[in-house]
Amino acid sequence: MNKKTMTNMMIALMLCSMAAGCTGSNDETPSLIQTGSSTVLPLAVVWAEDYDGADVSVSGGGSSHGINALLYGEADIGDASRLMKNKDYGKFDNCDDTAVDENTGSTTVPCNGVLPVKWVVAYDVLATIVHEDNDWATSLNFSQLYSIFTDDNPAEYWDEVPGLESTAPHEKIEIYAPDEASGTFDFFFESIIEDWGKDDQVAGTRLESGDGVYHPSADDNVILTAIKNNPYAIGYLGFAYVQENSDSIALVSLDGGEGFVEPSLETVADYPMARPLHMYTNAYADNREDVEGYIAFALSEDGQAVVDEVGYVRVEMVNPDVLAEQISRLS
Amino acid sequence: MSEANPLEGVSPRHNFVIGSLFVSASLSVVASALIIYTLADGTLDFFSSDEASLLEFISGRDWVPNGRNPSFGIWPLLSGTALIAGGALLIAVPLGVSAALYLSEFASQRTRKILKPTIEILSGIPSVVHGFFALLVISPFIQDYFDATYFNAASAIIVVSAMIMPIIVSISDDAIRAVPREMREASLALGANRWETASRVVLPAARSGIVASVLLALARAVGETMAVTLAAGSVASLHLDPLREVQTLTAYIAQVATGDIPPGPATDAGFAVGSTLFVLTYTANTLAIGATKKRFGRKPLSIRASIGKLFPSISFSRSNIDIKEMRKASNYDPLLPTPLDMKRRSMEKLWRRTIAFSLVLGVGFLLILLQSVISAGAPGISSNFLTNYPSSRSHLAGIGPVIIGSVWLITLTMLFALPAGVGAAVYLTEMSRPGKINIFLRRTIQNLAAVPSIIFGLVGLFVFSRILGFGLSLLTGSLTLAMMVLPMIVVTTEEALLSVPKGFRDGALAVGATRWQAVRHHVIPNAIPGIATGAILSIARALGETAPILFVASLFSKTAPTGIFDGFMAMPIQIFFWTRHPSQEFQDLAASTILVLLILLIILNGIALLIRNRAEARRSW
Repeated sequence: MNKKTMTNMMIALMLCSMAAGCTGSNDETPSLIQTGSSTVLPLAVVWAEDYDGADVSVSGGGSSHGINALLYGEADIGDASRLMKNKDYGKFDNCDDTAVDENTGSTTVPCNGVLPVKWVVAYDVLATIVHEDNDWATSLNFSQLYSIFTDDNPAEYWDEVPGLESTAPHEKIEIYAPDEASGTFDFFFESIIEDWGKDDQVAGTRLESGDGVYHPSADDNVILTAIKNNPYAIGYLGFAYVQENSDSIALVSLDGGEGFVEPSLETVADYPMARPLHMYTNAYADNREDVEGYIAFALSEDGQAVVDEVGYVRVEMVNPDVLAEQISRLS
Repeated sequence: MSEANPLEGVSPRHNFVIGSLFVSASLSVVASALIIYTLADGTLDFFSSDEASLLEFISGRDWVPNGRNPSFGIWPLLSGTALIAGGALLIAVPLGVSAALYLSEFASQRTRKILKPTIEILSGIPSVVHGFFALLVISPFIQDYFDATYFNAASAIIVVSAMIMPIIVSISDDAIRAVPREMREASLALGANRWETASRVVLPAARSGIVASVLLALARAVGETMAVTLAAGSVASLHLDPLREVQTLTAYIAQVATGDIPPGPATDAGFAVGSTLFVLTYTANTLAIGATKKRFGRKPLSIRASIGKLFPSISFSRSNIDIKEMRKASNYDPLLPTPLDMKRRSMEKLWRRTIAFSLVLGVGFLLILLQSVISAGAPGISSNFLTNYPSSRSHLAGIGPVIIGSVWLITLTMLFALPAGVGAAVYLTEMSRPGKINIFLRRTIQNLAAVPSIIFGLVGLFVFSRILGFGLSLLTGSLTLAMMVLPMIVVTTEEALLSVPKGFRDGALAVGATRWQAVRHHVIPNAIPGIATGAILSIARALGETAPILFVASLFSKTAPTGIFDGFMAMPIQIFFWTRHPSQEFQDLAASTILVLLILLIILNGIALLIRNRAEARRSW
């Protein structure tokens, strides 16, 4: 009886998929698989939709998954909000885990028959945010961020932050921000802690200190809501989230040593916290031309035009030379 | 099975049947082996690195996987898991069992016909939704009244208990209804009222099914990831304070498996955590099964003993009764209620109200949740939304190919899991002899139920996609989900089979049927209501789960799959993506998608319900 029901369901299913007019691969349009970072995802989805040269299917799972899937040959494009590291090669027994230049995240040595090529496709502006009623911490320099966000003699109350002694209230600081598995976390602390990730790193994050002030979450909307609800909260997020909610939170202007700059898509060239978003492709792939066609679209004027829509920054705004160099490699 | 017994009917066909049933039962061992292989590989990497040691892992009180001085002590994660799962069980077991008791013993046919499917369908609400509900509705309340932190275990406990309650209600209700009618009749005839009958006779007789439902619920609570991560936070610290934030074992695994950090001790630790969970649940299951066996045995308590406990003053043993004495002592008038009668009557009233209230509480909670989904999601549903692909322009976005992907996925999943699960259960309860192999298979299956869903995702990626080469396809996705729902089908089917009276088998065997014929024609057809429950809960689970297919399913594609090797999109993944989207329009689209998911669930469940209702109506005991 169950079998019969199942068969019926199968038939119903076939009919339904036909009725919906889903005529899969009926022509020679190549198919590309793209996977990886959830930060790059919204951008990848727009390009996949706008690009006519291929059927691009996009999935998430994190930067590590993106690079891993590329090296396994499962994906044609691996999205990553961080640079490729030697440890990514280390996952394979037959790959040289010293072959990656960790400063540039690129390599000349293939792994598992794949030679990863890095493309910078956009920049993400990292915005520090506070509650909309906060009027004492709307501009902060890096040493103030250091005293709020690290475990090196951290400020417990707002009026203990150097420079805010007379203006800030005597209220406890609460931090709501991404968790340590996120690329955003890494990038933020790389900016404010010297020698981050090296042996002589000068301080740890406040999360490590275990004092319960840093409340991490993997979900950016959750972080945003938490800060909206707490007048003494501070945190940082990708600008895309801030752009959609700029009326209910306050943005913090940052001083990385060259004066205060407010985070925005326009000021990005001077803003001290903008990180590149990457796509990795395989130089040895059989369908290299199809893949590079997609990358060429992403870097083209049409492709870059939608970057603002998503809340990221066009490559040209930060580094026109990088854009030109990448385009020259494609032709 | 051996040729020693000619009455067993040893034909090639018979051997083939037993063989394939045994294979079904062994599939869970294969699945477990795959899981152990995947976990062991990463766990070995972890312990072979310089930063980790086994001693620190099992004795350490600090879990700080990243940073300058990483420290990998498992206890904070264990306490977090114990707090959430324990708390959720503490709420869900009394509520769930009471609700099931009310549904099966006191509610009118009509109420029951409406409420049970409602509860089962609501179990399909994706856990992301529960997570946001916990964070945005429950948590503020707990913050205001109990001075809790923003992320707190209490709000996670509440939604997890709401998530596992349908499992308890549904399976316990089946178990309670399968208690033979004569037991109730005998009890009532002896003068017990309905509450006394329900609580002292029926409930103990149904305990094996109830214990099974609780074990499945515990497994689900331990394995729950998304809702807990959202609501309870992600700081691992060693305490049992529900008002503070905690991290569970599964939340850590999900965090590193989907994050951006490069491979290293922190990610390998995820596998060590997974192995810990595996060992723990195996031990817990073994202990739980041992404990229930010791307490109750398999034989139902005799009615006499149950009723005897009820009326200590009126013992059934003749020597203690002295009617004359009783009459003298209390102006006894057989037509007037005695104080004891009055007390019993008011107790019955009180208890009936109490258990009715737990049903109302459970259903009410889920309905509030549903209402918030409907108010956010209903306006977005249009023909455009139902047919378009998930565009990144919110006004164009739809879920046409996503719905088709999900329907494919669920159909294939059930196609794999239902025969395998039912086959395994039939083998275990009907066709095999009790023994070590049987016990081992059963434990393996129960243990599989507690494997967190994200681990199935990793196994699917490693084994089906990479080793077997199925790629990021429907086949990989459905095999992964089939592995996940298999234990639920086996356990519910086993309970259903056990509830078929022994006389059915004896009767068939007595007139010359082989054991397989007896099972095939007289036991399985009568067990269909329970099997259908397993199928319904599995469909709900497979349709709403995000984590197992997170690495396999796509988020964007313009077309729907047309074959099992095609890539696919699925509704929970789309919901997950859209709820995390920065702009409100997409978060509303997520709500609309949830609504469509629930409607799809109603349609799929409708089929299973028809089967169940028909079978129940036919049931002759």
